[in-house]
Amino acid sequence: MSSIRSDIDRPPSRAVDAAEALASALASGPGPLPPAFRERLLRAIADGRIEASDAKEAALSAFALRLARQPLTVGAGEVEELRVQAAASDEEILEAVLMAGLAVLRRTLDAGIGRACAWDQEQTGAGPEPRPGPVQADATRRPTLSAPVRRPGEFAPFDLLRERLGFVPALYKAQTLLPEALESEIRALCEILLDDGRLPRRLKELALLAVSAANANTYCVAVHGEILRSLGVPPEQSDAIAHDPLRPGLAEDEKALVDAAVGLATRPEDCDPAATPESLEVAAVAALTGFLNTIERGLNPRPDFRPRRDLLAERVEAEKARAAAAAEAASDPDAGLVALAREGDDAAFEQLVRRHQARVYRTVAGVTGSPEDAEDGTQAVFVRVFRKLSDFSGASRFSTWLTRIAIHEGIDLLRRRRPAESLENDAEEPDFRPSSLSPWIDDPERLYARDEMRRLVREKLATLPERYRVAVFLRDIEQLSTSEAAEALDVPVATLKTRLLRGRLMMREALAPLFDAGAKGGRGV
Amino acid sequence: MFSCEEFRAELSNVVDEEIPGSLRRLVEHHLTECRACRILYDSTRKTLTILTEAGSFELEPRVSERLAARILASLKERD
Repeated sequence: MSSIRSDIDRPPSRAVDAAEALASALASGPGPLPPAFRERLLRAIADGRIEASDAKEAALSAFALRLARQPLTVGAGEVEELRVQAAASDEEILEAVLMAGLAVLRRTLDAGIGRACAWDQEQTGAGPEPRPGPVQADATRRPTLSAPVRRPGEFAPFDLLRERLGFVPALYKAQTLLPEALESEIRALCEILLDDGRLPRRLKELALLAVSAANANTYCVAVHGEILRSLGVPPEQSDAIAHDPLRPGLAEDEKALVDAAVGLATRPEDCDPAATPESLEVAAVAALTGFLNTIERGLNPRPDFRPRRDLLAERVEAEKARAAAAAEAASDPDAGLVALAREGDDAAFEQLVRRHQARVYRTVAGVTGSPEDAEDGTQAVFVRVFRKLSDFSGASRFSTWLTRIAIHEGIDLLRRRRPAESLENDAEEPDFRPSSLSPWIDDPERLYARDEMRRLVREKLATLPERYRVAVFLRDIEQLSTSEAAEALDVPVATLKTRLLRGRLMMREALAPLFDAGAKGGRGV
Repeated sequence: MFSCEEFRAELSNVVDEEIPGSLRRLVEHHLTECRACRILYDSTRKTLTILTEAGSFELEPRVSERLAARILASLKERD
């Protein structure tokens, strides 16, 4: 939790002053929304409760509140709804977007300089956080507010951007309805980001990139990735720094500053106030980035550059996967026993062993292809689980976690047994041409009794090279999904698919003589 | 044109029903024209049914009891 101190204590920082100047220009500058309403709007965002004097105010406040607090849940059609249903003008909507950005800027800056923030007080108090909605990832997002075009020479701040960046990003072009606010923004951009301060421009751009990546802001990552490229940072390197928490390629002190910016932007309530001129400058960069990311979400500018990754789509996928795993984990029938076992209850652990040993045995036997190894393997798995139970996070079901450990045990056994045959590296696979191509009988699975069929399958499967056998076992017999099987084997999905195809064709080839519809003497055919 | 080689490369995705619509139409068209690939497709699908229904190695009840005892004894030793 941040400690609070007065502004007088902190070292002077030109970047922080520039961020403060932008905040006061947006809060009190000329604009279509009455100053008293702007104040109510900012308070509504800070404490999560809307006070409005009419329906239009209520609609604009609700929109700005969500844009500031849960920007990714704001959909592309909402601006149009404000225009049509709340009869808000484009200038008013633009200013509401700027107020949302301003609230985020203030909150980040307050945390960075250790000033109390109404927003955080509400968070630790009893105020209701609006219920999170789904992330909106519309492929068809388009700018929705009108914005008069300003040609070179017509608007000095744009000429400045052309001079400093080489172009005017669409995010700024989308705000020409309120030129005074735009001018303040561009001045702050220059003073906080583009001018070298205590920190070099390159490092500040990298901090902006990492914060934008953490906010899943595809647009800002694409723009500033290109700007970094023009500063001599290759896209692969800026991608790695933006997305990899290890920030490869940065010195330790640079990494600490980038991490501080991401921390301030994503969990301001947990951050200690900045103490050095460098970290104050980083706080200003984080605050500016929060502002830009927020207004970008509200304004939907056309991309200036093709994004290298669609961060929003990735976030949607990740949320889906997390929700599915959480739903599964929430309904985990083992949760009670696991909790008791973690507290040292031996009887609970014994029940878990009895409940799951058949599954573990089956998995180890399937991966190794050897029931003889499976007893020792099963014992080793439970010893490992017993020791690692405190590491089990509950993010998946206990049985899923256990199966993964069993697969790894099976693979370890295979490696110990035949280290020469690698499960990891596939040589180039030539196209597999099936040798027998006669039609099969209908319903071949009914030709043999179940036990007999199981014996046959096991026998044939055992003849496959390990990498194919394991792929077929995990996917077709244990019924893991392609991505689960790939993850369990630590190989890319494409590799798993190649092995699976080959393995299935080999099994088909091995079983073909038994089910050939034209074969003489074929059983029952 | 969609060749037999291209069909074989997609076979796993076809039997798993994991191909996009545009490719599916090419595959379906190829299958109406090529008997060998039709047989390959049909027999691979049947192979999958057999694998799925065969299930895995099962632990026999008498082994099961012995194994549980062994595991619990080995954990006690380590306490």
